[in-house]
Amino acid sequence: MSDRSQQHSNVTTWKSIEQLAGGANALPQGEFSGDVTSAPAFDSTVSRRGFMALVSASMALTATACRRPLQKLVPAVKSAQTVTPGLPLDYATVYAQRNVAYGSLVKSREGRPIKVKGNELHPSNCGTASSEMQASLLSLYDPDRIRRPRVNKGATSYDVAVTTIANAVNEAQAAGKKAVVIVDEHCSPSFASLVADISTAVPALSFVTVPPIIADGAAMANGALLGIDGEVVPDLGKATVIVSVDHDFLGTDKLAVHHTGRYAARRTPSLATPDMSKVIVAEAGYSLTGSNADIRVKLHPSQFEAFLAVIEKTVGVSTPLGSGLVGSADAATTAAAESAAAALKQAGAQGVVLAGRHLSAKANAMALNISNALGAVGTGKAIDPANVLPYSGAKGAAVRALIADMEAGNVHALVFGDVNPEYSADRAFRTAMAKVPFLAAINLYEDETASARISSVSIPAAHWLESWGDAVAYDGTRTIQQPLIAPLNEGVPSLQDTLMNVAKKVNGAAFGEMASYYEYVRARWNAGADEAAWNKALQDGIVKPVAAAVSAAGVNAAAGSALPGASIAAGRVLVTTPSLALYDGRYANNGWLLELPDPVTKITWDNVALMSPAMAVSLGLASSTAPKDVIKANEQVIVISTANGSIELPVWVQVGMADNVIATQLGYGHTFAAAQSAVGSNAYAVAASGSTNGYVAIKNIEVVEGKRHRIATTQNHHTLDDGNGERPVAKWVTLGDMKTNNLASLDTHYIGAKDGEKAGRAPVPLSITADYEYKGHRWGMVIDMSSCTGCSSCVVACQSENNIPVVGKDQVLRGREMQWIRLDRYYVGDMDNPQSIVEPMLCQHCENAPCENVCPVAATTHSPEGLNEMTYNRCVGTRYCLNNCPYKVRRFNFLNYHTDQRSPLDLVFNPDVTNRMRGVMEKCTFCVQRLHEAKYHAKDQGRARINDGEAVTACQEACPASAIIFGDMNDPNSRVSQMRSHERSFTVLAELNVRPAVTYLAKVQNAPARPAKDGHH
Amino acid sequence: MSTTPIGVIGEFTDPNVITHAAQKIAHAGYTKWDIHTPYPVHGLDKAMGVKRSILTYISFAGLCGGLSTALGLQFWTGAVDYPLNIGGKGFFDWQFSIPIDFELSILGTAIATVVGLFHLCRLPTWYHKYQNDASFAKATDDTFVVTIDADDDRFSAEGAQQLLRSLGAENVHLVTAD
Amino acid sequence: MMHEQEPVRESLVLGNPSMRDVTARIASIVESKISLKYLLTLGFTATMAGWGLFALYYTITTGIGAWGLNNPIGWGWDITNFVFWIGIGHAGTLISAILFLWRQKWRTAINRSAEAMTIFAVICALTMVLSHTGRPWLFYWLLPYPNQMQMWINFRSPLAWDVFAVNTYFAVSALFWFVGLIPDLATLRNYVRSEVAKKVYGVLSLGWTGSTRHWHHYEIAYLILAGISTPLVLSVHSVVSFDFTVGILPGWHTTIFPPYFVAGAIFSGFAMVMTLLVIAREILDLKQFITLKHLENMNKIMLATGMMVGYAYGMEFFIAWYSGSDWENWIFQNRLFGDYAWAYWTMVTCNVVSPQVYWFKNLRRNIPLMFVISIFINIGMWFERFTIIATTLHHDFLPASWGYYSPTWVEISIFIGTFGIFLTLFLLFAKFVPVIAIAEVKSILPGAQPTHHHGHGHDDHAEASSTKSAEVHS
Repeated sequence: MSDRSQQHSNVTTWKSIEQLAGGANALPQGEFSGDVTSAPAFDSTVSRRGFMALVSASMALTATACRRPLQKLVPAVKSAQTVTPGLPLDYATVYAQRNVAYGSLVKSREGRPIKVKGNELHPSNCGTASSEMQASLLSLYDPDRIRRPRVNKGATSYDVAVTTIANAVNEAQAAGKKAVVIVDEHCSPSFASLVADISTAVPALSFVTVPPIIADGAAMANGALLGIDGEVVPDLGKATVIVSVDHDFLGTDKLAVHHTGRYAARRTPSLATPDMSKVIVAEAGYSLTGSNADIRVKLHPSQFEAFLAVIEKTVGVSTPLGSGLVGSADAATTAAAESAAAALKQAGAQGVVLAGRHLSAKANAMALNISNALGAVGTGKAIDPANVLPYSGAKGAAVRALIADMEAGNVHALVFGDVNPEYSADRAFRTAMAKVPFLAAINLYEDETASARISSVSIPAAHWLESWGDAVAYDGTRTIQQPLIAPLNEGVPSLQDTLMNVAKKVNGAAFGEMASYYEYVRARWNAGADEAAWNKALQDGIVKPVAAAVSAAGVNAAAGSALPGASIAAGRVLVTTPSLALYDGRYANNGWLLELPDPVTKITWDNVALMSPAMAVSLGLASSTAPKDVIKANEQVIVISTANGSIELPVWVQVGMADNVIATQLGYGHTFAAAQSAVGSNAYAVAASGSTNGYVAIKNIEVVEGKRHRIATTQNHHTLDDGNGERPVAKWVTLGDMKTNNLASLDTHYIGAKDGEKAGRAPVPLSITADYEYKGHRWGMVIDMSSCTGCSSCVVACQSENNIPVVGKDQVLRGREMQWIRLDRYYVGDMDNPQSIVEPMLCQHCENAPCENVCPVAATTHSPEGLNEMTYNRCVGTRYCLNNCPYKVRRFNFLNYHTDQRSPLDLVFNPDVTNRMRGVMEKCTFCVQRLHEAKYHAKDQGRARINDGEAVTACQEACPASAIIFGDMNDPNSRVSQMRSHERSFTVLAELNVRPAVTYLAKVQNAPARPAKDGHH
Repeated sequence: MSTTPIGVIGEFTDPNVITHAAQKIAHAGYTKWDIHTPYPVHGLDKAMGVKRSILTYISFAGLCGGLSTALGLQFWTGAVDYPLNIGGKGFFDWQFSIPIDFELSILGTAIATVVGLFHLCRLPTWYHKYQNDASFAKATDDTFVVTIDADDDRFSAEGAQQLLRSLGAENVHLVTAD
Repeated sequence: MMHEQEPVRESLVLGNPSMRDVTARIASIVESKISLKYLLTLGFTATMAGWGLFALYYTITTGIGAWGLNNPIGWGWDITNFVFWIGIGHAGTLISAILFLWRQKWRTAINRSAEAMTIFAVICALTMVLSHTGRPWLFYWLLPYPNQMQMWINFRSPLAWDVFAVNTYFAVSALFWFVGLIPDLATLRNYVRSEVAKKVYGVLSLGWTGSTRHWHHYEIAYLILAGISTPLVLSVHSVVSFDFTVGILPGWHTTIFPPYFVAGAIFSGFAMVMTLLVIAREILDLKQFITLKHLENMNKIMLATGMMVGYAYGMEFFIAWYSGSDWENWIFQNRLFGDYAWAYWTMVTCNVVSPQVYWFKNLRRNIPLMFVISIFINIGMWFERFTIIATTLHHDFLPASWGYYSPTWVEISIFIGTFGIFLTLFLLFAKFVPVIAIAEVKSILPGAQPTHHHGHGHDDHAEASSTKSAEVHS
C-alpha cells in the first residue's frame, strides 16, 4: 500500500519522541488529575508538539507509577529512519477483540495514532478493516474514559487500588472461598497462559470467561460431531452455494470482514466468466446477509430446524439428525428447503450450510451434517476443521457454574477484567452477582459495572492501542500487539499488567523478576534473546503458522443426535441481534459508530423494535399494510416483556421480516454517565437467559399510547419504484442476463446518443463548448455494486481519514449528517420480501460538474487531474452547489460542528486534512491528501507519475469486499481504466451528461435471465 | 443709491399666450433669457428656439462604456489573469457573458444620463440670482415666469419691460441687486 | 397615435383643481404635523423590523443551522423571500417606465409611490440574499475586486449575474426616482414655511428652477431612463429565474421561467401597490388623485398577468409530459400530490382563481374586495416561489437523498422583519416626500398645455389635455 511502500526501512523508538518532546518533566503531575476536559494539558488548543510532551510525560509517569521501563516499539516494514515531524509512520499491531484477530496497521503522526487500517499480510482481513476496528481509534481519545483509580467513593493511587483487590483475594483465600476474575473471550495465547500462571500462583484466584454475547450452538455441535470444542471458520471462497439459516456472516458475525472478502471474490461475474456463487438465506429478521441474498426465505424462528431437517432429508444425508422435525415444517418452509437442497446437491462439495451460532446445537449440528454429506467438510474444503477460532469453546456451562457458586456464597470477590456484566449479563447472573461481598472492575469506562454502585474498586483499563499483547488467528497466524502510545491516563497499565500486579501482591513469588506484561509476552515468544526475530515479528505484524497438525477427524453424525434443539414456540418472538454499528456495545460511547447508519434500516443513534407491516397492523399500530398507513406505525413506542424483563422501544417497520417476530439490536441503552451512549434501550435486559444473542418468546407487548420517539434515519423507506416506473439509478442484472449478454438495461439512451451507442458508459459529447483536455493523471473510481455488501467500513474509514464531524442525533433528525459516503439502499420487488441494492454514493467528480458552474465565488473548481475540488477558505456558503448536485453528495456545515469537540477528542484529527468551519460546503475529495503524499513519494524516487495502486483512497483501503477501485483513467493499463470498460459498467444519471468520474458495475443477482422488457433498469 | 439691474421678470398664466410670447421674444433677438414653468409646457422649448439636447450622445457613450467594461472584465479575469476549469466550460465564452454585458450596459447608460443631465442643467446650483424675487418663486407653483437677463446685449430695462407687457405679461418688473 | 382613437375618458384628477390646489394639497401632507396615529403605526412597523434584525443577528452568530434547511434542501424561505421581494419591486419600475412609454397618463397618480416601493422592496431582497449565505460577513467576495486570494468571481454562475442585475436594478431605480423628484422638491422648497424644511428641500432639489432650457434636457433624460428601465426590469427577473433554469434539476431546468417570472413579478407587484394604495388613499386622503379609475386599471392588469401565470402553470405540465423525461414528469406529479401539494394548491387558488372576479366591472371597483384579493395574490405569489424551490429540492433524482423542510422561528421572524423594513421606509416616504408627482399631475390638468397650434377640431378639455400632454413627452 502506498503509505507503507513509500517509507524507508528502519526502526524508531519512543525515546526519539521523548527527545522531541523535551523530557518527562514537561508536565507536572497535577495536570493529569480530574476531569480531562478541565485539564489544561489536554486543552484542545494544545499543539501536536505539546501533545508529544504529554505522551512522553505520561509515559514517564507510568514508569514512576509501576516502574515499567519504556519498551521499543517497532514500526512496520520499510518505515522511516526516525520520527520526522509531518511524516506519518505505520505500526503493525493487531486488533484482537473477542476471539477474532484482525491484523492492523496504525498510522501515527508525531506519536499520535490517527488511523487504524488493515494489515495486508494478515489472513483474517487481508488489509481491510471493519468499521468497529477503525472506530475504536476514537475511543482511545474518549474523554469519558475512567481517568483515575477509585476505591469506594474516593479517587486514589493505582497502588492502593491494586492492594485493595489483592487484600480481597487474600480474604477469599483465608475464608476458603473463591476470588473470580471475569474476562471477555479473547484470542491471545499469552493471556491464556497468563491466566494459567496466575491461577497456579494464586490458587484462590480463578478465571471465568463471560462474554457479552454467549452463543454456544456452533461450539457444542462441533464438539459433538468433530470433537472440536470451538467455532469452525468456513471459507466462503470455496463455496458456490451457501445456504445460511439465520447466520449473518456478512453483517453481525464476529468474522464478517473475513467472510465478506471471501464471499465478494465469488460475486463478480463478467461476460468472459459468467459465474458466481449463490446465496440462499433463511431468516426471521432482515439482516445484511439477507439483503444480499439471491434467494431470501423469511421464516419464523420456530421453522429454522424444520427447514434444516427438510434439507437434510432432501439432500439425503445418511444419518439425519432432524428426521423427527421434518413433519413440523409448514408448506412454505418445505418448498423453500427443497429448492435450497436442490441447489446444494448441484453444488456438491462446493455447497455449504451455515447455521447461526446462536441457534441450537442441534441446528448447527444439522447444518454441519448436511455440509459434510455434500462433501464440503475436511482439510482444504470449504469447512476445514483446522480453522477454528481460538478459545471459542462453549462458555455457557462455566457461566452457569459461576452463577451457582455465587448463589451458594462460595465467591468472596469478583474482579471484572474489561467486561460489563451489570449491563450485558442476564438477570440470573446479575442477581447472583449482587450476593458477592467484594466487586472490583478494571474497565475502560466508569460503566454500569465499574460504577461505585456495583464495584467498590475501579481501576482504568488501557485501550488496545495502549497495551502490549498478542493474538492468534483462526489459522494459527500469530501477531504481537504493540501499543501505539503510552496510556493517556495517569500511569495506568493494561488489564494484564494490573492482573499481574494483583497476583504479585498476593504471592510475591509470582512472575519472579518479571516486571510487566510486556516482558511476559516477550518471554513467551521466546524471542528475548533473538532481537532480530522479535523486531521482524513486530515489523511484519504476523508470524506465519507452523503447518497445523490438526488431523481432521471425520464427522461423527451420530454423536449429534443427543444435542439439544431449540424450543421456540410459533407465537410472537423477540430476536436480539448484535448491532451492525455497535456490535455488542463495547464501543457504545463512540460517536463514529453511534452515527453510522445501519446499512439496512438507515437508523442512527437508536435501537428500535423492527417488525413486519403485518405485525404492526396486528399490534394496532397501523390501519393497513399499505405503505402510507404502515409508515404511521414508525416512532410509536411499545413495551416488550419477556421472561427476563421488559424493554421500551420505538417501532420501526421493516419490510421483508417474518411475521410475529420483533427484532432489536444489542449494544444500546447504556446508563452510565457518558452522555453519548445513553441512547436506545438495553436489549440484554430482555434477551434469552444464557444466550443473549438469539430468540426469546414475547410474553406481552403494550403500546404506550400517545408517546412517540423520534428516530433519526438518514434515508426513508424509498424503493426504486416511485409509481412512475423504476428509476434507472441503481442498476442490476441477473447471472442469466450475463450468460445471455442481455445487458441493454445498463445503457443510457438519451437524445443525441447515436443509435445503439452505449451512452451510459461512454457519454456522447453534447457540449456547445470545447472539452477540457486532461494531460497528466486523471483520477477515477469504479465501484462494484455486486461485491459491495453495504458493511459500512468505507463510511467510517472516510470519517476517520477526513476529520468528518459527528453531528449528533438532533442534527441527523434535521437531515444534516456529514458522512461523505452515503450507502444508498434501495428495495426492489414486492414489499412482502424485497431484494435490496446498495449503491455507495459519494462525490462523482463529474467532468461537467453542475456544482462548479453555479458557485458565484469559484470555490469549487476542477483540477487539471479531474478532481472536483472544494476551496474551503473561498466558500461563502450559498449552498447553490448542493442544490444543483444531482447526486446530493455535498455536505454543508450548518453549524460549527468542530468547536464543541471535547478534548482530547481533537487529537484524533488527521493533520493532513483541514477542519471545516460553519458556513462552508464540503464533500468527498478522492482523498486528495493521499494523492499528494503519493506524488511527493514518486518525486522522491524521480518519477513523474504515480504508479497504479500507489494512491489509495481511505474507503478503498478499508473495503472488505475490495469493491472500490481507484486510479488514473488516463493510464490505459490501470485497473480503473480496465474496469470502466467492464460490460457491467454504467454511470449514474448518465443522461444528464455531467460525465461522472465514478463508474458503477451493476449488481448481479444469481437468478435466471429476465425478459428484456423488465430487464430495463 | 446705486442699483445694478439683474433683469426683468414677467408672469404669464395661459400656456397658449406664453408659447406665443416665447416666439416673439426669441424673434426680438434676446439670447440671455428664459421661461420658468412648474411643468414642461409642450412646444415651449421649440418656440424659444432651444437647440436639440446632446444628452442622447452622452447616454450612448455610457452604454458603450458599460458594455466594454463587462466584456473586458469577464474576458481578462476568466481567460487571462486566472483561468480555471469550471464545469468543463471554456475560460471565456460569449454565451455566459451576456447577462452581465447587458446589465452593465444599462448601468453605464443610466449613470451617464443622470451625470449628463446634471452637467447640462448645471445642477446642483444652490443659488439663483432671481431666487429672492416673489414672482420667481411662483414658477414652481402655477405661473410661467419669463426672465430677461440684464447682461443680454440688447437689454434695456424699459425695452424689455415694454416687450413683456405688450405680450400680455402681468406684474412685469425690474429685478435689481441692492 | 394610439390615444387619438380613444373615446372621451373619465378625468384622471377629480374636481378640476387649480395648479395651486395641487401644490397645496400635496405639500399639506408634508407640512401637517405628525399625528399620533402615524407615530403608532411607525412604531409598530419599526418593531417588526427590529425583531427581524434580531433574528438575522441570531442567524449570523449561530450559523445557517438556525434555519430549517438540510441536506437536500439548501434553499428555503431565504431565497423564496428574495425572489418575492424582487418581484414586488417590479411593478414600480413597470408603472413608472413601461406605462410612461405607453403614454398611460393615469400612472402619474401612482408612479411616485410605486417607484418608492420598488426601491424599498429591492432593499428587502438584498437583505435576504446577503444574509442567506453561510458566511455572510464575506458578502463582498461576490464582487470582482483584486484581492489577496488573487481570485475573481465565477461569471458562469447565475448568482454572480444576480449580483450585477439586482444592484444595477437598485441603482437605476434610485436614479430614476430621484430625477423624477427634483422638480417636486423644488416646488416644496418654494412652498413650505418651515425654515428647516426649506433648507432640506432646497438642498435636495439641487436648485431646480423650472427653466424651460432645463426641462428640455430633463425630458430627454427621463425618457432615456424610462427607456432603459423597461428592458432592465424584464432582464432582472429573467436573471433571477436563471438561478433556477441554469440548474439541472427537474422543475428548475426549464425555458419558460423568464417570461413566467416576469409576468409573476408584475402580478405580485401590482398586488402590493394595490394593498399600499388602498391604505394610503384612506390615511393620506388622496382619493382626489388616486381615483377608482386608477385602481380599476390596476385590477385589469392583475387579471391579465394572473392569467399569464395561470397559463405558465399549465404549460409547465404540458412541457413535462411532452419532454418525455421521467424525472420531469414525476416532479410535477409530486407538485400536485406530494408532500408540498398544500403549497401548490394554495398558490393556484390565490393566483389563478381569485383574480377571476375582476371580470366584473362592479367587483373591479369594489375597494374592500380588491384589498382582500391583493393580499391573496401576495400570498399566492410567495407560495409560487416556495413551491418552485422546496418541491424541486426535496425530491430530486435519487430517492435515497430525499428529505423534507419546514422553517424555524428564525426564518419566519426574518421574513416578518423584511415587511417591517419595507413598511417603515414606506411610511417615512409617505410623510416626507411628495407622494404624488406634482409636476406630472399639473401637466395633465385641463388647459395645462397650449392648444392653438394643434389642428384638432374639438375643445373638450380633458381630451385635449390628455392628447397634448401625451405629446409633451414625445
